[in-house]
Amino acid sequence: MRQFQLAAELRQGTGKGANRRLRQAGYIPAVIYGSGKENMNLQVEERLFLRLLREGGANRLISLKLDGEDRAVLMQELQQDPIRGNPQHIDFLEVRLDEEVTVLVSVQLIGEKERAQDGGVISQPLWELEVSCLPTKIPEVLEIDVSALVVGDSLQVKDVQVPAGITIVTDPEETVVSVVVPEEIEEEEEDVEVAEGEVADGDEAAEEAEEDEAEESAE
Amino acid sequence: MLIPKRVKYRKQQRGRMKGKAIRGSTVTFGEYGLQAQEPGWITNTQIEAARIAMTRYIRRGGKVWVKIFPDKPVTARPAETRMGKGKGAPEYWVAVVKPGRVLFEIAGVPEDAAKEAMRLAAHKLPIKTKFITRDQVGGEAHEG
Repeated sequence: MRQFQLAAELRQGTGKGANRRLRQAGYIPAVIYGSGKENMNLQVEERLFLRLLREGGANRLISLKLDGEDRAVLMQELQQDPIRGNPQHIDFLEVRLDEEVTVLVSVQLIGEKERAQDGGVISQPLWELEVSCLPTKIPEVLEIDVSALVVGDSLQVKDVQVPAGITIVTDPEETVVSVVVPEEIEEEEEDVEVAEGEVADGDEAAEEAEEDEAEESAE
Repeated sequence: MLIPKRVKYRKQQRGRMKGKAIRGSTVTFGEYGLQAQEPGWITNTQIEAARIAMTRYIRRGGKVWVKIFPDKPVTARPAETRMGKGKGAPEYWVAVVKPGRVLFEIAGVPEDAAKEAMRLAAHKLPIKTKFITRDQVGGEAHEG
């Protein structure tokens, strides 16, 4: 398994102003906690962190270099700017390598192109599954083969094959993927709905106008 | 057309649109989304027009989610009336949208089809929007 590494430094300032200055200088404020140790405020270089994300280290075990010491951490939370998407703050959870952790792993569908052309479309209600495993065994993605599915078929969580040492925590009866008949778009029906809405609106407005007029004339 | 079933008060004050959308700023149901880049009021007719533009383009296959709901009544005065005599009558409904809010989502179509459908939808909206994909940082901006 690939080892992801990241360097971090201790952070002195806290609060809005200090953190904004930090981000301006190209760092991301972070915190580390877990494993029964005291939590510490950290800062991580944004450039290195973005590289780690690009390489796929978002949901994997990271070796965090702090004060010359390597700590095994998982990214517990990543706060991002809702518009630009750049990282604002990171929570690192320190983990023990011999204790199981529960993480969310994304589901990847394979064999979509090989599937029979039966007019059905793939619907995927679950995009991530919660799994429990050792931190060193967290899978990158959980692959699900949909090439054999036909219209009306569905796969539940219990049908997902996972490597040894990994347990799925998500409810086994939940549907992960299904092949459904696409809904026919009926334009005329939509138009009727719109018309009804407008009529209802119009009636209300008309009543209001009548009321107003009555008030005005009374005065 | 989207409209609340029942409201506690018929008229509302205008309010302000400060800050960014903290909730509803990620793609949750589908694969692709249309994200607001600036604040604005989106009326129920605009939402409906955008939805129809998307569903007409993707035809069969695919699913569209509308992630905003127009729950704010907007009043207007009738034409050629004098000022005063109280607040006007409710005319239409709007959804208050802050930058970052995901307005629509699509799943079950190829990315280029989703992008084109979102582009058509963006033309029906009064704000700038951006096409985004699930778990993506950044995206392509286009004027709405």
